[in-house]
Amino acid sequence: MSADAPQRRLSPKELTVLAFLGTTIVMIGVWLWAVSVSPSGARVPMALAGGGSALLLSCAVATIVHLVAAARVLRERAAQSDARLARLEREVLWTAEKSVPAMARRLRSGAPAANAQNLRPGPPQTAVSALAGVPQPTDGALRHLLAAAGQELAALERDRAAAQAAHAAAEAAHAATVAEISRVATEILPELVKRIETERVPAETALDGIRLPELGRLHDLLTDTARHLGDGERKAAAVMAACAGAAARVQAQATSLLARLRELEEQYGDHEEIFADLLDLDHRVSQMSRLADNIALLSGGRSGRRWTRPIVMESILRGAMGRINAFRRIRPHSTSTSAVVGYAAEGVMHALAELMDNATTFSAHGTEVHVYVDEEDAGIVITIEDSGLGMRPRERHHATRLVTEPLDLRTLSGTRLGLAVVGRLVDKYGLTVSFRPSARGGTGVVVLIPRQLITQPRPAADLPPPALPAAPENETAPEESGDLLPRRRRGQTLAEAMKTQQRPPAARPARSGQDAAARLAAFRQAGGRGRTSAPAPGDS
Amino acid sequence: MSRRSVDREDPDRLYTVTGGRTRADETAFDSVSLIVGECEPTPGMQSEHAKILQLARRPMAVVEISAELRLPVSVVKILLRDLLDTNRITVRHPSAITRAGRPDPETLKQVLLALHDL
Amino acid sequence: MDALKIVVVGGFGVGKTTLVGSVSEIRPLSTEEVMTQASVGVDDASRVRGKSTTTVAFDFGRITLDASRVLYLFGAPGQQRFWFVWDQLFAGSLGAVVLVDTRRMEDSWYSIDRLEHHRMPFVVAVNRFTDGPSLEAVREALALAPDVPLIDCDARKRSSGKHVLITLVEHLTRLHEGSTQ
Repeated sequence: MSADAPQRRLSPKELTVLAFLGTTIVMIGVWLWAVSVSPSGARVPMALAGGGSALLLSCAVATIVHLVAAARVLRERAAQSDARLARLEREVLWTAEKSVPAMARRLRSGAPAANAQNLRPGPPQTAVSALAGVPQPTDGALRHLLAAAGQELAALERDRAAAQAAHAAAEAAHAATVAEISRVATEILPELVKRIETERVPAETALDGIRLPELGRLHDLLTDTARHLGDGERKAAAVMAACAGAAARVQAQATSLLARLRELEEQYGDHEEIFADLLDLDHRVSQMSRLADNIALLSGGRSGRRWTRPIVMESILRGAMGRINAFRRIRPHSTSTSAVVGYAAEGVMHALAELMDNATTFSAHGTEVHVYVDEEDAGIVITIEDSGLGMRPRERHHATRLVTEPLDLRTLSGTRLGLAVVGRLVDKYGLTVSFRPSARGGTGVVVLIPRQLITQPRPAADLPPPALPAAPENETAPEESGDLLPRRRRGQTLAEAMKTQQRPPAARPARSGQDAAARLAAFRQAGGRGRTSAPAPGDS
Repeated sequence: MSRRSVDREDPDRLYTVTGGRTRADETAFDSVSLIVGECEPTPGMQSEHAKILQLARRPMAVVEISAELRLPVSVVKILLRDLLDTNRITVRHPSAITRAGRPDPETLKQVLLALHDL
Repeated sequence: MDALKIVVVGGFGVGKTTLVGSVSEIRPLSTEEVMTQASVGVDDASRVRGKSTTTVAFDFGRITLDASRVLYLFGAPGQQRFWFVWDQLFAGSLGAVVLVDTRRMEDSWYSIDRLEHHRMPFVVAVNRFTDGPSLEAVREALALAPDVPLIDCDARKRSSGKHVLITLVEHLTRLHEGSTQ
């Protein structure tokens, strides 16, 4: 088509003018001839008619030529359009099938300039270079279209790459998170719990040295958890400490009360009624003291007192008996002269007391509980035998567990603390306790006090001698050298004293000088009142 | 004024020493009765009984025993009662010498002599 | 074996422990842990200037007279608040020694009253710390009966303690003779 372009073709307008002019020239000749040959008379009409007709004919010819030419032009144009359309179709097809995929491939596979890490290449180069590398359609519009598509594709590709990168990052982060969570669950938390609950490290320092997860939330979660654990542990510890502290105060009170009772027992040793009451009181306080010891031990505290010298077996047994209600039913059988080392004596007595208490509690009131002491190679074996109903195997198993396994506060019963206490003491001093059926029909509890806790008692000579009186030289400082001596009136002091014994001492006026009055006041404060209520037989 | 150091305390409460008894039959002794041991201690015997028998190898007053054992007189009396009931001790009473409220002149004479000889 | 008993009474710091100790063949056993009350004693003793010990109460001494006789000495604070042991203390006793400190004469009043009341023979020994009033002045102040022996003594000295006991036994002998004549 374009090859024909240089050949000049007449346009329909030119053809029309040419046709009109040619026809007009022919017609003028015909007209002239016709006019010339026509009669003269007919000449004017002939000239007019002929002229008109010739003009019309010329116009008609020109019109026809014009129409024909125009039609031909139209046909040619239609043919050209068809060809171009076909070519365009081909190119579009070609572009769609070749160029665009090629360009997309190039864009996707990345420009040579893009580095490996950065999945997002520089947009201008990529679009331009990708476009440059693919076959271009000849059609300009298509080329534009391709370029535009290239740009769009490049943009899309960028977005896709960005999305992919983000996705990959998210995947990686997710995997890392899963790994961290797993590490938290299997390593960090157990370690944290161990440090806080077992090693009793404060929450603030428990996290030191632990590689904490980088993930902020997880990090926070762990520090929160540590804090809560620490809080819980502190609360539990505070409760236990408060318990142990309160028990310690009761223990201290009980110990001083027992010492005071012992003093009173010595003081009123000759007063049978008072003495009997004091012993009863002593027995009750001793049992209370054991209860306080139980609470202290179970809450992590210590026994109420500590012996600084070895305690002989006889005293160990009696020390244990003295702490239980039915001590009269205990029959000790011991020829042992060994002693338990001071630091373990209290614990051994306490454990034996609990076991003796059990034995008397779970056997009939009238029956005796026999306690045998045997010296063996491994240590001293103490067997406590009752004649109660005995234990079923299941109960025996339970009892054995209580005295051998670590104390679990959750399984503690409020009223049956004895065996748990024994378990605590067993653990503390390395005792061995086992239960077996007794030959007497009830239960036999066998306690082994290991050899390392056994020693020989110190000789009695170790006891410090009673304080000797001061040398009289100390008494020689004279107060005054007045010659005026106070005078005694016979019987008066005795009479007054006897009056006082029937009256509250506070009501008695001091008569016998300042010194005596002061002494009397001191006596009243020191508890002389109790005595004044019972006058001496034979005083009157 | 702590009279007893911890070291001198015993874990034995007095009622376990007496086996739960709180009173002796007072007619047998008073605080100054003289106790005479009649046998030696045996193994397995309550330690206080054994000590009393050791002390009473020569005659000894109840309060003296009480001071030696560091036990109240009434506890000692209960323990002595056990020994008396099993014939392990005998008792002499100082009050026996003051018949009719007056000391025997012969005794006084001998006491005087003994005192001069001190 | 006969056991004889003499009671020595006197207030705190008067030297009664010293007296018992000076003549006893055994260490003076303080029966403090047996039947006394130390707290009161300490309060009292602290009021006696210069006395630093806290030992008080009942002292126990022994003198073996011969193969068949033992003399026990009981030192007791002669105050009324110890009345609860007095009867036991004096039961079977030969007699008593009242130890007096002239600076605290009134401490002995109760003892003397009581001994007189029970008709228990006694002697009064003045433990001399310094040159005090004469024995005559003491006898007058204590309103002692003329036949009650009153002597000076130094409780630290065994011979002096012995002399006090001898005086008492001689007094007892005289009383006995007096009652039989």
